[in-house]
Amino acid sequence: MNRKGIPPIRIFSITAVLVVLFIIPLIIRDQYYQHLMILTGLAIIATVSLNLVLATGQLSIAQAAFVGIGAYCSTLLVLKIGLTFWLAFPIAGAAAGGVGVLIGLPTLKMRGVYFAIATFAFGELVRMVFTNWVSLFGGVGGILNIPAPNPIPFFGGALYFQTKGSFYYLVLLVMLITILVNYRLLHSRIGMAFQAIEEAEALAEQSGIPVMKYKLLAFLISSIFTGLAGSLYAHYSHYIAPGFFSFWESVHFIIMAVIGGVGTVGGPVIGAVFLTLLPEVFRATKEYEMVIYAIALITVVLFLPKGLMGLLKRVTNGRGE
Amino acid sequence: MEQLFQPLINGLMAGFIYVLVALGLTLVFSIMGIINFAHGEIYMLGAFVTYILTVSYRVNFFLSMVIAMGVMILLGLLIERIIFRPLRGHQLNILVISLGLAILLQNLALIAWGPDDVSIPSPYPEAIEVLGINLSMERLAAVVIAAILITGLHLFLQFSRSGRAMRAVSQDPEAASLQGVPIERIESLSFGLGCALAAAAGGLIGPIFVISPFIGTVPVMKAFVVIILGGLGSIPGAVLGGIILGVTESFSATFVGAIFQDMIGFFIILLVLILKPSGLLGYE
Amino acid sequence: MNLLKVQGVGKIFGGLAAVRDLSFTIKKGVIAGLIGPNGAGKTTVLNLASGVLTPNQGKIFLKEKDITALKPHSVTKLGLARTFQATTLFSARTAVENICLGRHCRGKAGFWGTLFNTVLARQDEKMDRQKALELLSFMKLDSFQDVPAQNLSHGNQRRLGVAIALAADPELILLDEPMTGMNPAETAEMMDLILRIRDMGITVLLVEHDMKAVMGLCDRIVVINYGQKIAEGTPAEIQKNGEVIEAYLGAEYTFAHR
Repeated sequence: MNRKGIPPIRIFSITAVLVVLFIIPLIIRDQYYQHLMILTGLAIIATVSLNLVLATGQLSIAQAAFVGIGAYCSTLLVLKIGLTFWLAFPIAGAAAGGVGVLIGLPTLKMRGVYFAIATFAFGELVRMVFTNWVSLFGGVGGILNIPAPNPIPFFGGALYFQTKGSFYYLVLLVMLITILVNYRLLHSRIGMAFQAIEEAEALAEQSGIPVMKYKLLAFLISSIFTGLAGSLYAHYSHYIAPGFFSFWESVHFIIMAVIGGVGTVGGPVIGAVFLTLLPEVFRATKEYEMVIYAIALITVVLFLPKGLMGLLKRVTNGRGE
Repeated sequence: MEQLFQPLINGLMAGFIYVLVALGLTLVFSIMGIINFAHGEIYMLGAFVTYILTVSYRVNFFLSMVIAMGVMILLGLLIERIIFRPLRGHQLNILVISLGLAILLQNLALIAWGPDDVSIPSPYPEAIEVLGINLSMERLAAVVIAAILITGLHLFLQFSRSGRAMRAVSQDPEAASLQGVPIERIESLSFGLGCALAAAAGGLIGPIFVISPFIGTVPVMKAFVVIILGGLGSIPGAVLGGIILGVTESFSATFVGAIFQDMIGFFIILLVLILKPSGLLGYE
Repeated sequence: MNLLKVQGVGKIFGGLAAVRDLSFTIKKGVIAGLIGPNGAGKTTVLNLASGVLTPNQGKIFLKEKDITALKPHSVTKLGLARTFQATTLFSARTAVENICLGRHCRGKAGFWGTLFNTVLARQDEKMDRQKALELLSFMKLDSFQDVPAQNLSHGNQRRLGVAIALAADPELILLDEPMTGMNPAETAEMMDLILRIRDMGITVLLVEHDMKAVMGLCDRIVVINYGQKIAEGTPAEIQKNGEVIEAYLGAEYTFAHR
């Protein structure tokens, strides 16, 4: 936390990673791989956000619901009201954040298990609203033909977002901001307070840490970025349906966060990358894939409580991030 | 008046079945303090074992059910020993791992038996009509057997040595341990019992609905509603909660619309958790 | 000046009154003691004062400000800190990190300042560390600076608990049975620590079973039984009080001769 300047090796490695991230779509032009990179980017945003809530010791099983809220909100604003994506996008994030506060206020004061069940019930209710309020949300079939983001004027010409390559940069930008914000928070006094809440809530409260306020803060920030990811997803895949935002999807995010390692920013990034790309390596049927996921999760929870990130840290003696 | 009776009876029947599924979940919570998301998959496996024995091996249906319960008890003991026990005290880790377990079991079942529905031919005679109300034998039998199991559980907890030990642990684990109750053995026992009840519920439902690896998800969600409504850890609460849920769903399906039938349960969960987290009969 | 005023406070749990019509005051600069037999309600009183519980009746004032319904973190911010009976620490964190956390409410940078790592935020972190090291010194725990809290000895963990409470810069500190499980040498050290805390200008309310410590340290003692005050006065007065002696019937409680 207290360093006199950042060690040069860190600056170098971060710059190197950023350079690679920026030029990758120019090198790998295969549409399928670009698609994977975009999905991974979106998964990273959602998982890193979930991690912020997990860092305060609360297990949220509603992550997919917030993705859905962002997705549907943005879609409806563009299709039914005619707003440009560039306005719908932040509004969707704000809407998801607002819902987060609304549901967080009564539920975050509950003990762990109760909160988890409450988010589970909330998530399912949201999905059912998407399914059953047909006139607004299109029902089980969802909404098709969601347009890509409008082109934005740029130095005389314009930036278009129809292709995967261009959309990648948009996702990359949002992802980097998400990572930056979360990293900054988790490594600050507030982040330490979050971890204190997770470790010993009563002591944290007594030490002057405003526990409820901080839990809400984590939940709010998490919901906003998750909603943004949802909006991006909708305008990328041009099709959303309630089934995409179900309980099992929320579980998927939890698995990514836990396997990657809760508490740091690197953990969920690793988890999201690992688990989005793993099926590509294995190329097995979906069932075998899920069995491997499940076994990986069980193994990690039992033997690697700090996830893959923890393993990485131990191996590199705590210098990695 | 007849208009009201049919949904009422249907609701009560569904309610009893919900109770049976929820009982195992709430029993485990009251004694071990853990919520097992994989409970629904135990139910599903119970249904499958019953199905396989009945259809492939031509074993008597009721015997199959008993065997299925036995198999699930063994599986449950294994799971408790290997997966849950090392995590005692870390509630959230247990929640997460039970989610993983649920995914594991469901997909193993998919690999083994495929996604298609199968069903158990009904071992019961034709449906009967009493006072103008339709009573299908499958449902009636399910209710009767569920009632027998619930009563059996109650008697076991009240009068048997192990049962009393379980109640002691659920009320005050430290005091019970000081009095020489073998906590770990009681925990294993209660987990096994929970699995047996889930398996029994699965077996009973077999002839009523179809069986597939996907049938575990909905019952466990309903079970959550039941035990939150009735109070986490309370057995009479589970009975009360199950009946209330069954009847409420039935009436809302008949008079308001099928859409709301499923939503009502989750709405109830949120309402209860926000207003009175300990539920109707729970202690906090 | 009355630093803490407890006025007609009552608390009911499931139909039973744990605390009933309790009133007492603590003046600034004293070491006050709160004693009573097991189950008398002492921890409940501490919980009420520190905001963990809210009274059903009565009011509590800190420096003339009504803190009755405030949550613990607000109470701490206003200047009342407390330790816990069971050794509660942030076990995986190092000793210095534990104390830094205790100082959280004294940070000046808000959310945005922290997010953008402004000068104020960095100042907060610097001050945290500085004060934490000072307190470690004060507690004579210097050598354990970077040791995870769970690896400390029981006695040192207790002292760390006190340090965390002190980190919040309180004017009044509530100590909940700090000597539990300590041998005579550790007890003497803790007594010395409490005196040094008082010398720092911090008022102390001590809840303890160790009568030697209580009688040796406290200027004033409040005795409660069954949630009600049965006596209040100097140690000498308390030792001679008939009701107090009766409440404590039992070989475990012997009054030290002063």
